[in-house]
Amino acid sequence: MTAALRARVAATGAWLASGAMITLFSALASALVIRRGIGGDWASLALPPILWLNTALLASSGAAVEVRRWGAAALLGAAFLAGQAWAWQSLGLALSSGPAAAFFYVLTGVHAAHVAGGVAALAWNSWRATPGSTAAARIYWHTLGGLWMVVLCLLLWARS
Amino acid sequence: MLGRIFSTDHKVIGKQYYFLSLFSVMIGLVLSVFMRFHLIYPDKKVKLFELLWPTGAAGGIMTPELYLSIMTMHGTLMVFFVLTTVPQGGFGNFFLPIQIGAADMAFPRLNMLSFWTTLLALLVLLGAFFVPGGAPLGGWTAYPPLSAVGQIAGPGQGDGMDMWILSIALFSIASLLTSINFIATVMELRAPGMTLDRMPLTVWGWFTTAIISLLAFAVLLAAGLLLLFDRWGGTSFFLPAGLVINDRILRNSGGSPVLWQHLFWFFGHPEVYIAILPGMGLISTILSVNSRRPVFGYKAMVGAMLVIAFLGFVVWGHHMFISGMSPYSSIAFSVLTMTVGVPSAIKTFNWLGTLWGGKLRLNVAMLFALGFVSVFVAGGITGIFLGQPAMDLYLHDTYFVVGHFHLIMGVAAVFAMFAGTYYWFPKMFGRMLNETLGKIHFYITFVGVYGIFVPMHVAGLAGNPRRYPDFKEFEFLSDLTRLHTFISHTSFTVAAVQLLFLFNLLWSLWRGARASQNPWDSTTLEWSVPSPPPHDNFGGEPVAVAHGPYEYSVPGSDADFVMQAAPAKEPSA
Repeated sequence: MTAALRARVAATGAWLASGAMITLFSALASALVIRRGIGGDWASLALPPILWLNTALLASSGAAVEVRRWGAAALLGAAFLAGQAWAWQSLGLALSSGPAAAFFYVLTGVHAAHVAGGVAALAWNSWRATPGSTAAARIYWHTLGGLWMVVLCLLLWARS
Repeated sequence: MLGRIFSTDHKVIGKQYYFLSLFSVMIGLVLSVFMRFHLIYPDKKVKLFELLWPTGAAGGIMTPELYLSIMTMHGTLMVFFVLTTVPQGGFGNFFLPIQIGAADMAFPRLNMLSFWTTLLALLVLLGAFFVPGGAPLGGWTAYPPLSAVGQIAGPGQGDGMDMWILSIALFSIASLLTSINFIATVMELRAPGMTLDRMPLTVWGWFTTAIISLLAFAVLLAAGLLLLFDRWGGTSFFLPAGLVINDRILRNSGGSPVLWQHLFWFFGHPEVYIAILPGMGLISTILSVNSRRPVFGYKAMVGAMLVIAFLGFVVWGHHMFISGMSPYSSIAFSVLTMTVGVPSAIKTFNWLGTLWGGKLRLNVAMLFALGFVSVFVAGGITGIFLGQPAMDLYLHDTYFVVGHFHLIMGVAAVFAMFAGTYYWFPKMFGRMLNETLGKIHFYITFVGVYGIFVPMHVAGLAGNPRRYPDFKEFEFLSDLTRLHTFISHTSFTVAAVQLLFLFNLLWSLWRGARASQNPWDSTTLEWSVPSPPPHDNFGGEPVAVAHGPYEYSVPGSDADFVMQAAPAKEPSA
């Protein structure tokens, strides 16, 4: 395989992985919409304000990827994860306390698990980047950034 | 040695998947024999049952719970580890790269990871037999609320159900990785000249199946995750308020078991096409090779596959007609379901068109391919009955449904696997299978499956519910005793004949006649390399494709077939 083909194959793989992730989140999102509509037990949820800081961290991580600062991007991604952990702490609700909290944990948790993989990929790129690994990491990371915006909008819409 | 086990070679991985499924299908088949035996001899003491399940079959008599757990494991093993695994993971892995002229998959290491994750999923599933309480009872569809409340719903619904969900989640992840690999390989690694309209229909089958898997398994993963949260985290995604199970009041509220049904069947219906589409591609090829005629209507065949893949995602509601859904939704789902008949009929028509006027070679692969068309039509027609909400009200959860899906999903896909085994075994292992044993295997199996599954439709029409561990308490079913006895004895015969297949397979692996490079005079690329193919498929030689996949009996050529890799004809002046 030539280097150019390798990069293209890696990018195609990352696009397909993005498709699978988008489908996974679509399934969870549709479950939220349906569950909120039928339950009658949807309690309002005050979103932890740190989510806005986390959003900024993730966005700047995406910007760092665009200027190929892989180390910085990985650190910002890790900071996002720490911020999310803080958000779970400050929410301080049990999983069983109600559907809004349950969906908050499920959506942010599944997203964080994917981000953790992304941080590892970014860190790898700061160590030894190849055309394939950078192309794949970039697509994967921006998909996760986009998915975070969707998750955040969904949580804002569903908080009351 | 370790390098050969932990191999990234797609051919080794393909064989590993094949043998994993062979192991799974043997367990699944034995479990079905146990069920059919218990159904007709519910009071007979069986030492073997007691030996295998000292608590579930104390004294040699199966408890209803044990019956349900055997049923669950039979369904799960067969649907996931056989029907989903052989056509795609087994044959697809081995032949997809060769058929498009590539040296390997796009991501060989990811491919290896997929296989080992699948194996882990299988071990976790089988582990459910050994945890306290045994295997789960909820069937392969694992409907809540009983799948979400734990041990109080039955012995296997505790740890066994957890193992089941974990296994299915692992299987989903492995399938997603495989799909990414298959799609990327087809998109990026085709040899020069392998244009889309020169791809064998097998490749189209694997490609569309991979697209379906990518979307369907992601949804199953999401559903499984929510179910785990309901079980472990005390959430109420699928659990409504006011549940009382085994005299215990549950504190859940607001969830809906029907939400699980929607998520599950959004995966579950496309899953049917995951099992059958690779088979459709393969059957088209085998019919064409063995009637020495090009596939009739190649483009229509490709189009029909894509339409089936699309429609597969919009008909899931026909599994839920009696879930209380709005009758308007039922009608929409019903009409869409009937629409699947159109591409299916196109395929059947084109298979017959391929055969029409051909010089048929009735080898075992061809016999199983013809058998596939037969059971596909028979199973498809009963689907039209079940797709009508009014009919389904009566037939839902009866043996009519069991007969229907076993014919169309089980037997049709298994016939495609047998056809594929008899057709590709020479290429995979370099030796021929015994044709005489194969013919005995085919004829008894072919007659046998009709003997098993057609009477089940009759039982269903008579109102016989499915999932009952025995019928002795039910007056209205007493007339069906002889029918069930017939079904059971036929199933024992068919199961025994599979031993003949197993013997043929194992014997031929070591003692079969040596296979030539192209024993069937086929055209696709795997037949232009030695049997079995060398490590990187084409020995590093560049591959150029100049012909379509089905150039049989082309006027003016020397042989009655033109290999895809044959040089292009000089344009005549």
